[in-house]
Formats: sequence, structure tokens, C-alpha cells
Amino acid sequence: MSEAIDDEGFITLVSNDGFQFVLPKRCAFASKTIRNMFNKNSGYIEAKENCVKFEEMRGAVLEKVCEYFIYKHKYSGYTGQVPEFQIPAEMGLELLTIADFLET
Amino acid sequence: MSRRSTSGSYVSGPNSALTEFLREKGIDASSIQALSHARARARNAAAAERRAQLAQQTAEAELEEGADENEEVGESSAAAGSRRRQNRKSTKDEDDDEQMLDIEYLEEEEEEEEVVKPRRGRASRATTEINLKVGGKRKRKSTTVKDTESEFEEEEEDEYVEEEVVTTRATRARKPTKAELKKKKAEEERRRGEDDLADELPRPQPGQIAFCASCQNRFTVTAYSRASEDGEGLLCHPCGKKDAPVEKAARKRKQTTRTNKKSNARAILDGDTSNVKSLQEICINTLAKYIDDVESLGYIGSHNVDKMSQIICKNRRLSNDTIKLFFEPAEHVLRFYDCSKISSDGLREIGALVPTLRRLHLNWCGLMKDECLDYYGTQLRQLTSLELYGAFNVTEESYIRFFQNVGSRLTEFGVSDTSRFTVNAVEALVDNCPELEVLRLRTLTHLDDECVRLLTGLPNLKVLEITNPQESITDGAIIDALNSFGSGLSELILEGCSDLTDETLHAIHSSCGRLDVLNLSGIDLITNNGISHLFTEWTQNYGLRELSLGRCVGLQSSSFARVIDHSGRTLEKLSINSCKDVKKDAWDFLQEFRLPLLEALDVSFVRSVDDSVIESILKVAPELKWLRVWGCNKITEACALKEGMVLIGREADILA
Repeated sequence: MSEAIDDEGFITLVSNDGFQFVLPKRCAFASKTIRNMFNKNSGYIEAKENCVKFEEMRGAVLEKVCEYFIYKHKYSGYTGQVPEFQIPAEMGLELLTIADFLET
Repeated sequence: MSRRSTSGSYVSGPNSALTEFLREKGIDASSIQALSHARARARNAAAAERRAQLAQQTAEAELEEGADENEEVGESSAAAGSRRRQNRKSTKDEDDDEQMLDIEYLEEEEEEEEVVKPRRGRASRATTEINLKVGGKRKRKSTTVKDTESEFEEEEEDEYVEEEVVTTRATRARKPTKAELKKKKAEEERRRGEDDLADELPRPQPGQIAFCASCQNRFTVTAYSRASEDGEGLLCHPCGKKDAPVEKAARKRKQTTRTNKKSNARAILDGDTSNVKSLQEICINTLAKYIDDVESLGYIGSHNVDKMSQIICKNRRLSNDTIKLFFEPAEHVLRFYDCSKISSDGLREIGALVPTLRRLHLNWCGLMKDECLDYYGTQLRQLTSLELYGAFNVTEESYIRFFQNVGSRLTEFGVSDTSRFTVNAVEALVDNCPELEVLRLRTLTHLDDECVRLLTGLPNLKVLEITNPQESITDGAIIDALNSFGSGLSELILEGCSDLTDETLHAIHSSCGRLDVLNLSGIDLITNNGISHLFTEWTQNYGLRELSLGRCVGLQSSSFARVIDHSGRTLEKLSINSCKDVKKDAWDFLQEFRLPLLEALDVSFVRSVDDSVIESILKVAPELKWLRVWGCNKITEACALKEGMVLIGREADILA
């Protein structure tokens, strides 16, 4: 499969309760699922609109996911001490299911 | 292994860096002993010769006792007198210069004495008194050099000299040793230092009033007051504080680098490679932390379930409560890596709640009892693979009942650390489970040749593991087994079967064409030739994927070359841990090959490995990810590594 991915620009992630998160594409591409959506060859409508709606995610969890995308983008390749990414205990299981879905 | 230690004093394995160094330099206990013997002999011989010479001289003196005697004595006593006067001058209060003179003088005098010797020899017996005086004076002189003399000592020495001439001569001839000179020098320096201190003003006591060396303000001295940079005086509190943050920061930096180093070393050991973890990993770690509060796991993906089980078991948090989280009714695979806290009833629930289970892996299930295994046998209708490690309470009868219940459905079986799995259980296994493909027998107390011969009844066996049997397993049994199913074997692990020899290797060579994984760790009786033969013209085998020759101390560069020649293209994992005789030429040989698939390499305790060897390995093995170098103390921090490769056990990483 050829890689026809444009990682310039921004992307909007929408939760099921209507929260919108705008972040650079290359940060969101930490998730393989999102990355595959934006492969032009796969023809997803999301690729054209630069907007992904996650029906199974509520705002609070999607916010955490976006935080992780930024965290990962900031610290990957950094050799010093990386601060720990904090997750509220009650969100752990829900986030794990979503992380499994997003392949991140 | 116990057999080995009783039968002889054969010791092998990795040795300390010091031992290795001594061995390299060709120094061993016998040569040291021989050297010291030789030295002692030489010393005795010299003493004997001297004694003989002396006796001869005395004899001569007795003979020649006569005419010129008086004259001689007069001369020698006059010389002695002048010397004594000179000597008296240099008492202990005098300074170095004169002492130096004295040393020179002593040397001069010694030369002179060489000339005088025969004459004095003649005179010695006749005029004992004078001779003694001469001796006494000489003695005194040598003590002057030592810089510790006192009047009292001198007198004592005078009396002390009334001994044999041999002793006097020995003492006189002794020059001040290096150590003595050094001590003297140190003492002088100390004395001079004391003088300097006396000149200087003493440090003001805490509580006193002093003036700051920097801002000239009055201040009260405390124990924490700092000295100014030129050492002239003390600094007041504000001036002293100026430097403090810098020092503090430096100290803190040092501390953090140390802890960083430590945590990095720990992360390497745990296998954490990237510093940014995936979101799944972070979630699992968080969940594992609060596992006691989790009510159910829900759907998190089966690979995540296994990962969760691994982490919880690693933290030793798997209990009768937490294990229930993993009981999904439709699950096919369950692996628990530490069941030491799970009661037999808790383990029995697996059979009740997950009846669809096909593969079950239980580590350290020491609390398991017979009824649990019996229950599995009747309840788990789809079970094809069971691995029970550390179930030492389960009796042989229960194993036999289990095999009868499961019958030919069982394709994989593993058991370890029990003394209740004996030949009867093996017999029942072979009779009831002919479809068995994987058999792992680890650390069984009563596994012997008879058990191994019984395995010939398992024609479908693909994986055979016999690790650390507590009884002797010999070539004959293994060869019989390999003759029956060797051609189908893809994995053969004979780790720690320490009675096997080259004959087993010959059998592997002739019968195991499909072998993929071979582990011969700890079989120290196999020789260099045996390994060479195994890998020379082994055309029916297309190359091994994993090979472990750890502690096969017979392995040398030549057979290592054979291994690379045969399996270099296909090897993914290779261990030559503790093969001390793999030398530089082997690494040079490696340069001409490529190891395109090699991912993990263990060269721990192979002392010939140094920075350049590591760099050359990295060149020929582009896929290398894990490199173990415990005990390779020639590897330094300067060694150039590539990104994404983990080097485990480098001394420089561990020692702060």
C-alpha cells in the first residue's frame, strides 16, 4: 500500500457530546487508526473534510487523548528525563479501550 | 551437577575479571609458588655462602694472629675515634643538609670499608673491645640516617652490638629503603606545615567578632562561615552566600545524574526502550496500580489482557480477587505468571468460569492440589495445552488421571519443579497422549534415562525441552529419543543436561534436519571438535533461528566460525555466554560475514569483547536490538552504538 499521506495542516476531532479539538495533523497521526483514515488511497470522507467524529468517545476522554498526542509529539526523540503522563484512575479502563481502538 | 562435584574437582564457568587478567598474563598459583621457592632457595644459598666465607676468614685470622697486629689496631682505633667525633656532631637537632651529608658520608665509608674488610677480619678476634667500638659507632651512624635516634637509643645500640659480627655487618650494610626515606620526607613536611600554621593567625572561634575579608563589615563568626578565596580571612554571611547557589546546583546536578544513570540502567533491564510509552501502556500501568478497585476489565483486547496479567504478576498483585477480572467466559487463552497467592479453590474456578479455555499457562501454582487438576481434566473440554509450573503438591496419580481424561486432545504439556512427576506419569503421558507436539520438562527431580527412553513413543513431538534434570541423563537415552522423533523436531532444549557429550551432537547432526531452535547451555562436556562437527556440512538443516551455547566452555574461535558459517544467515538469537575461548580471531572472521536477521546477541563474560568488537558486530548485524555484555569489562562508554539498540550490562552504565 502506497503511503499518500499529507501531514501538513490541522485536524478537528469531535467527541460524541459535541466537543471539538483542533490540533496539528502530525500530532494526531500518533494514532495508526487516524493515520490510516487519512491515507488518500483509502478514500475516507474524513480525509477530505479534515474532521473526525468519534461516536464512542465523550469529551473528557477525547481531551485526554489529544493531550497524549501533544505529549507524544513533544517528547518523542527527546533524550532527557520525560515527565510522566498522568491519567486519572477512574478513566484508565475507558481510555485503554479507546487506546486499543486508536492503536496508539 | 552434584555427581560432577563428587566425582572430581572439575570447575568451570565464568571467572572474575582478576582471574581472567592473571590467566591472560600466564600467572597462576603454581608459578607464584615456584617463584617464591626459588627466591627462598637463593636466600638460603647466599646465607650459607656468607657463613662459609666468614668461617674461613676467622680461620685465617687465627692463623695470622701475630706481628703487625698492634699497628693495625692502632690505626683502626684512630680512624674510629675521628669518625666518632664527626658522628657526635650530627645529632637529631641538626637539619636536613647535614643529614644528607651524613648519608653521603655513610656511603663513602662503606666503600672504604670494602677495602678495610680483610684487615679488620684479621684483627677481629684479637681485639674484641676495639672491634666492638667500631661496630657500635657504625651502628650509630646508620641510625642517624633513620632520623629517629636519641641519646638513649645510641647507648642501647652500643650494648646491642655485642653480638656476632654477622649481625653487625648485616645491619651496617643496610641502606635506608625507599619507604623509610619517604616517611622521613613526609614527617619533615608535616613539621614544616606545623610551623607555617603557627605563623598564620588561627581561625577565629565561632561566636567571635571578625571583619569580612570581602566587604570589611563586622560580623559574628559561626561554624558555617566560609573562608575567602585567597584564604586571608573569613567572609560574612551575605558575602559567603553569593557562592552558595552555584555549589548547591553543582551538587544537585551530580546527584540527579547519578539517579538518572540508575533509573536508566533499571529501565534497560526492564526492557523499556523508548522514553515515550504508548497510551495503552500508560493506561495498563495506571490500571495495574489501582487493580484492587477495578470491578471488571470489559473489552480491552486480548493482548492487553495478557499484558495486564504480566504487569500485575510482576508486581505480585495477583490474588484470589484480582484473578477474577480475567475470567471472561469465552476466553481461549489464559496465562498467569505468578499464582503463588492463588488458593487451590481459586485456581479451580478457572475450570468453572472459563470452560472454553484451550490454552492454560500457570506459573508458580504451588497451592494447587489434586482435586484442582482432576477438575480441569473433566471440566475443560477444549483444553489442548496445559503448562503447570511449580505445582509441587499435585501427586503423580492426579497427573495420570488427567492424562487419561484428556487423552489424545492434549498437544502441549509442560511441567516443572516437582518431585512427584516420575516415570509412571511419563508412561501415562506417552500412552494416553500420542498427539503431543510440545513437551517441556523443567527441573524435575526424578527425570532420568528411563523417562527419556519412554518419550520415543511420541512420534509427533516437535518441541522437546529437558532443562536441568536432577538425575543423570546420558547420551544413549537422548540418542534413542532423537532417532525416533528427531527428524520432526523444530526445537530442542537440553539446557543443563551436564552429562551429555559430543555423541549427542553427532546424533543431532544426523537426525535433526528441521531444527530451528537449539539450546545446549551448560553442557560443558561438549568439545570444540564436537561443535565443529555438528555445524560442518550440516546440509540437511537450513540454518538455526535460535542457538544458545552459553557455558559450553569448549567452544573456541574455530567452532564459532563453523556456527556462523552454517547458521549466520538465519540466526535471530545467539548466545555464547561465558565461552571464554572465543578470541579476537573469531571476531575478525565475523567481519567477512553478514548476520542479516540477528536481533539478540549475548556475549556476556567473553572477555575478548571490547569496543571495536562491538562496533564491528553492529556493522555486520544491522537488525541487532538486544546485546548483552555482562562482565565484558573492556567495553567503555566511548563505544559507538546505534539508535534503537539496547546494550545490557555495560559496566560503565551501572557504576555511577
